[in-house]
Amino acid sequence: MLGWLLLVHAGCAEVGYYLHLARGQVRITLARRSLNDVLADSTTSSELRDKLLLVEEIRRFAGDEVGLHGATSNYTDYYDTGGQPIAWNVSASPPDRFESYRWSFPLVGALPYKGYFQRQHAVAERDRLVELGYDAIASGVPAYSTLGYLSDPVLSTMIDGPEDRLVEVVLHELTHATVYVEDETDYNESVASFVGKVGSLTFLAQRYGENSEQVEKTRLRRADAAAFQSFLRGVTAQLDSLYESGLPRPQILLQRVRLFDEAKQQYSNRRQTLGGGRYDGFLNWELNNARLLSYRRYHSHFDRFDAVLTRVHGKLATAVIAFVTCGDAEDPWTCLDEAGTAE
Amino acid sequence: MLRSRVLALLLFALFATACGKTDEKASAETQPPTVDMTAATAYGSVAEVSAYLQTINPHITTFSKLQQEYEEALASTKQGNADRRGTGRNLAAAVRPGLQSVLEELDNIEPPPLLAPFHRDTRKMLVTRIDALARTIEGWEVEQAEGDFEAIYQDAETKYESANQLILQLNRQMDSINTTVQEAAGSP
Repeated sequence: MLGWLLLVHAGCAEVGYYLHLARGQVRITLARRSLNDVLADSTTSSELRDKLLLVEEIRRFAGDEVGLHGATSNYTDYYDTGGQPIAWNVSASPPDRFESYRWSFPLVGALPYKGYFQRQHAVAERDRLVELGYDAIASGVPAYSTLGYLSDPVLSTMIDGPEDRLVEVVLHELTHATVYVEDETDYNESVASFVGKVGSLTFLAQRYGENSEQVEKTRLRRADAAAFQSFLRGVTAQLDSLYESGLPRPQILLQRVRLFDEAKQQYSNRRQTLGGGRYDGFLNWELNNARLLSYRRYHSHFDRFDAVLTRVHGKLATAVIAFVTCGDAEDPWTCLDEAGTAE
Repeated sequence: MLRSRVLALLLFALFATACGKTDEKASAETQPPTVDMTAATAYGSVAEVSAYLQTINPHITTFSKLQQEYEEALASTKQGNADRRGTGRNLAAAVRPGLQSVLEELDNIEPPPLLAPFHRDTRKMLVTRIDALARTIEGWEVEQAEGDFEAIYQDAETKYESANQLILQLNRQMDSINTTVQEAAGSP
């Protein structure tokens, strides 16, 4: 009965889309295996086994020491994506300004992206938006959160990569199940990224030691990431100035061709100081406003969250409580800034 | 148990993602201000200049869109390389014919006499960019044949830089044209 009411509520305009999501989610649910089964399976590789055991440690850490919700109910199963991203997100922006195209959904609010389980559907939506004149991208995502509504499995895409990345992703996704503010995607993604980064470093330091090779490597990777983020902030600032210049639209469109081109050239010239090749993938980016906004969403405002963490003497669990509290405030960002400066 | 779980999933999917409202009316384009068309400018009458700009603006928009196709072609190659930007195969398929077409369209436009230098520079920028693409494609072919491709890619980079310098030059000219038109028409 509730299902029919929801269909009526949805206006049936995008029933095909909901069925696509339902099918994808059901497919994952039916094909997932419990971690215990995978660990008990003699054909499981030692690398996968080690990573899954690590996930159990991360879950304990997330629940006991960071206070994240869903640490016991999530990541108890494993799902192999077959080497493909688990989903594809479409995002878009007008080409002459930074302004996320937004899709509105009941329950979760307006989002600057729309997710699909199948690439061709995402590409079709991207192409539709490009046809309307938007910058649009369809990009694969390695993990997603159902915000605590369902039990999320460990995905094979989450464990392909360095250990610190796995810790970061699990903490990031569990943060979504803990802090979620409707219509505030930037806040949601920034806080999840912040908790993922800070929490993973703390976890690794506890597991291997403050001066261990694992922690040192992670710090070096983070330093490279910070340099690349700073470079991209410069590119975005130049584009922002152009978009805010008040110039006629054709002039803006012409100039941004040059700026995009020069950004890649500048990266090539400075690649040794921008991670020594770690970010060469940038040269193959589909560089446009949608891509830059999408990147910025996950890599901004860390200083504002860090101010709160400093204020609570580096206790991440206490900071998370403040992030949740600010999520309930009328303006989460103002609340956050006040929490970071309050005496 | 499984049935109720599947039902819960369906309900979640319906509930959480329902009604993807797309704000199609919020167009990707903004509208230019209107001006007095009767005034005279250093580039010809406002009407004349405006008519010319209206004629070439769609081609500039197309050029910008082709840049996005170029970026998409790069993204589809998935080959990180610090010295060049994409493979010849993808660039040839995605961008070069489009730029040639824009160039042909520009050649069919008769600019007002005082805007001829601007029109010429726009054309030159396009030709330089097409040359840069041609050199990239050539470099890729030489690379596939295991020949010496470095110098060719370097030449392509030089041409891209020249095209970007021409865009800067066009920007200054466009500033001047727009300012003159606005002043003549009495716009703020």
